[in-house]
Amino acid sequence: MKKSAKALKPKLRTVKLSELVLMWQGKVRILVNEEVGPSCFRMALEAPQVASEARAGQFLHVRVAAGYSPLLRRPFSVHRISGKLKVESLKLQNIEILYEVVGKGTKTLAEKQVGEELDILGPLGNGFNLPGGLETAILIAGGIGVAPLLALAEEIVQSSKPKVQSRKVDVIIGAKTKKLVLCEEGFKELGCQVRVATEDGSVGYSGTAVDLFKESLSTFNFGVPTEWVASTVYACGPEIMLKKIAEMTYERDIPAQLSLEGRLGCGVGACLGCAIKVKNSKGKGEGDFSYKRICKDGPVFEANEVVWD
Amino acid sequence: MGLKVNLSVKVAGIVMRNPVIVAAGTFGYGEEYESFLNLNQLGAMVTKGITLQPRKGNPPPRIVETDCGLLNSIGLENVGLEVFIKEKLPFLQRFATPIIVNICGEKEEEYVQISERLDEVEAVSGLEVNVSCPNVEKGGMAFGREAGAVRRLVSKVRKATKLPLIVKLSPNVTDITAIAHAAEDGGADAVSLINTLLGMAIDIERRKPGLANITGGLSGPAIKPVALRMVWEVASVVELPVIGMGGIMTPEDAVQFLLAGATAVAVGTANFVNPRAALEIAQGIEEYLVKNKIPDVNRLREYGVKWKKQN
Repeated sequence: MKKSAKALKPKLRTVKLSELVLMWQGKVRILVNEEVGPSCFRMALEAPQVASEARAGQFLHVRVAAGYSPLLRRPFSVHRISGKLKVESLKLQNIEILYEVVGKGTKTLAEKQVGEELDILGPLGNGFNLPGGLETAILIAGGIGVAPLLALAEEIVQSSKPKVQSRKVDVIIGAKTKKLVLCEEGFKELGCQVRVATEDGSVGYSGTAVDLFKESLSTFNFGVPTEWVASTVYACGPEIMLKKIAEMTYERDIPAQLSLEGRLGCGVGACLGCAIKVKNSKGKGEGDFSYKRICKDGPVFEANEVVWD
Repeated sequence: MGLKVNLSVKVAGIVMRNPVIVAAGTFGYGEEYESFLNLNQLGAMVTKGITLQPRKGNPPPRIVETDCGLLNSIGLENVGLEVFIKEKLPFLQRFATPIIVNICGEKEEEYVQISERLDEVEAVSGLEVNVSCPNVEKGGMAFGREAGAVRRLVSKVRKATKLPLIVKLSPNVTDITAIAHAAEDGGADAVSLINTLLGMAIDIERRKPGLANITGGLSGPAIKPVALRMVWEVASVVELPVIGMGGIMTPEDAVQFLLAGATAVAVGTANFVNPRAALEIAQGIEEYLVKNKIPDVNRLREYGVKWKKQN
């Protein structure tokens, strides 16, 4: 009997990673804090305790200043875990974040010098989920949203078992302009196929990451509807972009996971400040929703569970 | 450390190993912080505000950072009384730390029902009656702004339970001592103050309020001087023990509240910045006592009550 693609869609297990891994708080040394694009910085931290536990999609909650200005910590996605492949050099594992200076917190962070210490909490939240049957991952980055996706590409490539299960990573990097296209080389070094979209057309496709995704839909291998759906879209970027991707993937029945941003308070699920609206699983129609916490239940959510206002 | 000092306090009949409590709404149901600190070392834990039925809470954005402060309008999102008892309390009761349940309702009857139900629950050490939540349409601060309403509510809850009753006061009133007196008259065993100060933030780029609910409660170091003044005023006039809170970030802040007349202190927003804040503050208080050769933390509150205004 022929089953519909929907019935065969791999059930995305909600793995409560944060309950399994050790979270850590302490001061770590800044190894690198360099400008990689206009107002965009890459920071490497000597944090083997966190690096050994962290997964792509999780975040660090960083206290950028010792005083009360700013008062709250700032969340940054795990961007890269350096040296993860070298098990023997576990102590050398560093963790990297990628950030854009947008306010008081990130401005303070950008002024930090190599050798200074930073108080971090992490890894926090749930990472991206790699379904067992994953063959093709389509990573869509908007602006600084590229940050967690490089870590994800690393994780997918490392989880790939040649000859048994080779996993392919297609990447779309969207940015306002050429100078803001980040991590292109990093993805290419991992063997990913990379496409670039700029809103001003200064390099690559002229338009947004969503436009390029839409236009290249036919070129991705989503699997035949009657077969196991072996592709997943992973996206991070501005809310409007994520909303469009959620709609497009829903219409085409493609599983998608989104890494969401929001104002976080505690970062550990206690303050309930970072609520987002989600559909209730035992939904009683359109108006039936509840709130989830971005920090603890996310920051990665299945695209079809998010309610967009 | 040479001198052995006593850190233990008794508030509303609840014995605490040290005077540092974690404040309602800032420590979830305790489980969120287990990875970061030994919960056995806290003076007491106050849970997130519990209502009879589960509450979804307010729409986002629910928080906005301000200068040295945090505005929130969570709207009492909680799992509801029965789920709390079944799913959250079993975790909390594994620890030797007293558990104080913050309770809130839209009507007097809801406070009464919650209190009756929790009266049967062994793991609960006391109730904190929330008459000061500024972020709900009904109940909460609506009760806490009027002395008569506080007296009536507290006396009804008093009849419903033998558990120690702490009444949490709002600073958004004309005279907080009048409300404290009303709580005392109603039969409270202690008062805790202050809850958050009503505030507002505006995003000038979007030309919209910072919070979806427009106004919210301000917490953090910005409110500490106001909180300290109110704690001193209340502690000076009521017989009841006072739990002081509002912007406590450091041991020095906590000592100020104790000197103002508080028997214990609660740490709130600081938990978000540093999950170990409450423990570090307790440790810092001990160091302060040793350094100043004060053998007992209970001696500190004798200072504030002696201070008299000159005008």
